[in-house]
Amino acid sequence: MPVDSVWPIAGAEGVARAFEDAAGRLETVDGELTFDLSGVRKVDVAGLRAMSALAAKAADGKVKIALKGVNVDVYKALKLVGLTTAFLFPV
Amino acid sequence: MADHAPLSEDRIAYLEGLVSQARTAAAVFSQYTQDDVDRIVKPMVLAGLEQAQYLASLAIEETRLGVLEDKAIKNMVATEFVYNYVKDKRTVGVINEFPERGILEIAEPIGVIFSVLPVTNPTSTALFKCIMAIKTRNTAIFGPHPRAAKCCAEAVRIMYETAVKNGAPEGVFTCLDTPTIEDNRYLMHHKDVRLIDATGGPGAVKAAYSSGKPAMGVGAGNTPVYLEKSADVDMAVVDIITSKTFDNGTICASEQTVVIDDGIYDATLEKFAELGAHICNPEEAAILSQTVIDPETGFMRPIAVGQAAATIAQYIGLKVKPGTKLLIAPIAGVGRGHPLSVEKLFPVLAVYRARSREEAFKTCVDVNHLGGIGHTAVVFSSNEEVIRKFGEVMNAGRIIVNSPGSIGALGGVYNDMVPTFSFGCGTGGGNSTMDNVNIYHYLNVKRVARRTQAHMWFRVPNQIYFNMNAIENIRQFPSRSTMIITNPPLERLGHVDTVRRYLPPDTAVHVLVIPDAEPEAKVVREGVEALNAYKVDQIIALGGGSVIDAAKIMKLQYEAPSADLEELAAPFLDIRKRVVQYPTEKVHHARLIAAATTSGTGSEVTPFAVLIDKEAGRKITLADYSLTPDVAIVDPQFVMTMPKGLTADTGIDCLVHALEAGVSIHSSPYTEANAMQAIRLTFRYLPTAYAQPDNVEARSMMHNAACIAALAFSNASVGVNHALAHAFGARFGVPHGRANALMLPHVIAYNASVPSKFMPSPNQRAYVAHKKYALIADLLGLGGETVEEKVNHLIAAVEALLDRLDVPRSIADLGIAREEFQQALPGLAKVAFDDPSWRSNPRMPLATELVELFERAWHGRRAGGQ
Ligand SMILES: NC(=O)c1ccc[n+]([C@@H]2O[C@H](COP(=O)([O-])OP(=O)(O)OC[C@H]3O[C@@H](n4cnc5c(N)ncnc54)[C@H](O)[C@@H]3O)[C@@H](O)[C@H]2O)c1
Ligand SMILES: [Fe+2]
Repeated sequence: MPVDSVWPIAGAEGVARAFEDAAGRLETVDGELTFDLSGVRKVDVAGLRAMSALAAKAADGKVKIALKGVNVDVYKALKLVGLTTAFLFPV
Repeated sequence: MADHAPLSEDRIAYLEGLVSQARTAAAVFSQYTQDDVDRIVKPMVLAGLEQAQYLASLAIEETRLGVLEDKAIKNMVATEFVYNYVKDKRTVGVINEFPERGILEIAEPIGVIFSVLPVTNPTSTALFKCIMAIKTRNTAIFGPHPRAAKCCAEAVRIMYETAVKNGAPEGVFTCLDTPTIEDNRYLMHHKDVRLIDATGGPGAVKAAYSSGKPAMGVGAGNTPVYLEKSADVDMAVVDIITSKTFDNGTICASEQTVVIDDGIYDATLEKFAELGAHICNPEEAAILSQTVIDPETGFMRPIAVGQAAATIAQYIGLKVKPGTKLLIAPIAGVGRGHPLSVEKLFPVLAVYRARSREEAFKTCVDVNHLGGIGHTAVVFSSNEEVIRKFGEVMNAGRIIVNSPGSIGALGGVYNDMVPTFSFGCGTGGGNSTMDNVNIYHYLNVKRVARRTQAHMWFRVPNQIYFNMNAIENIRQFPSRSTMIITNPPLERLGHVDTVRRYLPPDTAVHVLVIPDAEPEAKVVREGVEALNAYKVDQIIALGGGSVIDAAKIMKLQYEAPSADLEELAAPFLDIRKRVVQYPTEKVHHARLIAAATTSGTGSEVTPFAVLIDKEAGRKITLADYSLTPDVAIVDPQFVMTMPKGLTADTGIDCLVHALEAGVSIHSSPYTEANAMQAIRLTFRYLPTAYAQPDNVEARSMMHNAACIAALAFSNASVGVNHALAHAFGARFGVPHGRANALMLPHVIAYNASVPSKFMPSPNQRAYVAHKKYALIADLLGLGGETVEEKVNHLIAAVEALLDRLDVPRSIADLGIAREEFQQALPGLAKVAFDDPSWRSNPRMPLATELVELFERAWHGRRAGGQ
């Protein structure tokens, strides 16, 4: 996996933008798409919606989406909306 | 389902959208801190206060019931009073800490709540529930009563906009636009709705509970009021009028029937009339009841709900004075035959003349049970006894004393109850709670429970005298009348005379010689008679375990004649939590001095006593620290006469006590110190005491060892070795020590290996027995490098000791036939399994393992260990 395909995200507001962006370019991605969420303390409604939309778009399995550096509070929020199975969480 | 119109696809999509939005918001909300939440709540409360009048007017306009001013007050209570209650409460993260109990309480939000709003208190309930939801990080979808949809939606909008502006997640509240019963059903059954909070009529509440979801439904009321003769009537009348006319009686906690003591009845009605109530004559009352109560159903007519007294009077053609606040109708009973005795959510009040307190209470019970179970009841009285009795007989979550029922039940205004707009009615009202519903019903409270160390103890007699001639010490104890209890062989050996010599000259001395056998109930009974006959104030038990045990039980029954031995022998798991308590009230007091003549049981210091019930063929074991002798005498002069067999048997018993207490799950540093020393002394002195019965030093040290081992097992208990020995000894008539010897090497090996089942043992790590045995091996200087080697050396040393004592080393050695043993085996295992001794064993024995241990004892020797 080339390093430049890791998308670092800063702050709650950055999440929605990054995932919406990615959704727009999903066709161009090959294999795996990785987001680095280590700079994200909490995720907001827009962010969760964007993540959910991207997950739905990638549901055919051609592109795997990995979330790096997700803190446990954000992980639990993803769990509450049933999104943890839609992403990979590399350790 | 079939009897309801199906929802359109569009409607389903709309409802799904609401849930999805609420679920996402709940997920986001779960990340918020207490500060985040508190920063949102305050501006919401201020917005609610600011809009209180406006929302009240919307409610009046839409529902056409209630009183504007009162609705505004309700909106203010729902915001200001609720805020006052919640503002400093922790609802996020750790909400409570109990360090002394090792407990932390942590809040977990619920998620999406579907919340039904009533027509009677629409905006106030909406404000209240919005504040509760935010304070607890929950999201809510509101389903208002169709006749209050607009005002509720507006209240929710105001709360929502303020909340989101101050940081709440988008979608935290939504309100159904055109609510229908079908919408409610759909949402109540939705998998992502986590709780239903139904404040509304019986239909909504029933639907909520039928959904199969966790639900809070709060029920209808029918508030009885007892106006007792000691009451302040002036105050009571004002309070009742205030309450019953508040928002035109729409609060379901408001007064419905006032039961008035005969002596103050007329004066009370006069007062009511003076302050603006119209007292109906019988004809008027009849018309009233026919019009406001539906004769078909027996319930109030919705058209009257929330209407003013004057409006109702006009409607039924009743002539009343201008400004009439309340219509009062006397009733002669409660039930279907007396229509006005039911709930009336409008300013119509029934009154009942009670000829006695008894009749008053019964009438209030009748009203309470006529559709108002669990809700609210009111009493006016200055008689504390009346108030308490009323509280006992009313089944009501809120029993309001000397104050208005409706405003009183809301909490926080007239009393210190929790402010609410949802009154739980308990199971009687078909509800899951009887509380004033509040933030704690909107939280899952998780408890983090740390491992706590149970308090332990080390309880022994406070006086133990030991070494040669220790018996001399009895001189110091004043006594008018002393009973020496012993048995025939010991009397013959002259030990009683020795004791007598040291008793003060002014003590009257009596001797009770009991049969040479384990104590029986009959012997104890006769002994107690003798103690009574001589008004004994001191008992000296001179003998082995049998005599000392007999004396302990005699003392118990002499001091507390009502003590029931059967009951006192009831099983228990933890002596501090036992169900049966030993008597503390005593009719006599007698000092018990135990002078041991064997070196094994240690009964002179233990809190145990064993009684044989020959008829039932069983032993009754009594255990309580109150049985412990007051003074123990460990004087070796009494054991010099022990025959060799008894020396061996009792010496082995002593060793097993120490080894089992040493590895017991109830052991402590205190018991371990004693156990270790007893083991060391036994290994060192038992062979000599056995081989050279006249060796004073060996006898003396073994006598100490038995007592010291008993100090350990009195507090740490014994183990599976005793369970096996009890079962085997009883079945084959083998002395206790010998039976113990057969099991001992196998039990050590068993306890030292990894348990197939661990024993719950909060005070220690579950699996340390092997290390403790290794420590004992080190103490005895047995050598070995690894724990396993050391354990094997200990087993070998135990076997060598047993060999030197000439005791049988296998069940086969006892001359028991294999077939007989095999036949007995299932029964033996069962009895051993039922024996309480193993409950302190470090390894929890499986029934199959008990069989296996008996089998090993059959074969005997561990062939040099394993
Ligand atoms: N209370 C406890 O803590 C406790 C613990 C274990 C066992 N017990 C009970 O103790 C009893 C067994 O007690 P024990 O082992 O001391 O035996 P024991 O008291 O039954 O005495 C055994 C025999 O030895 C005789 N004897 C005692 N001392 C003697 C002496 N110095 N010289 C010559 N003969 C002597 C007795 O007269 C008796 O015949 C059983 O009833 C058992 O249930 C009690
Ligand atoms: Fe014993």
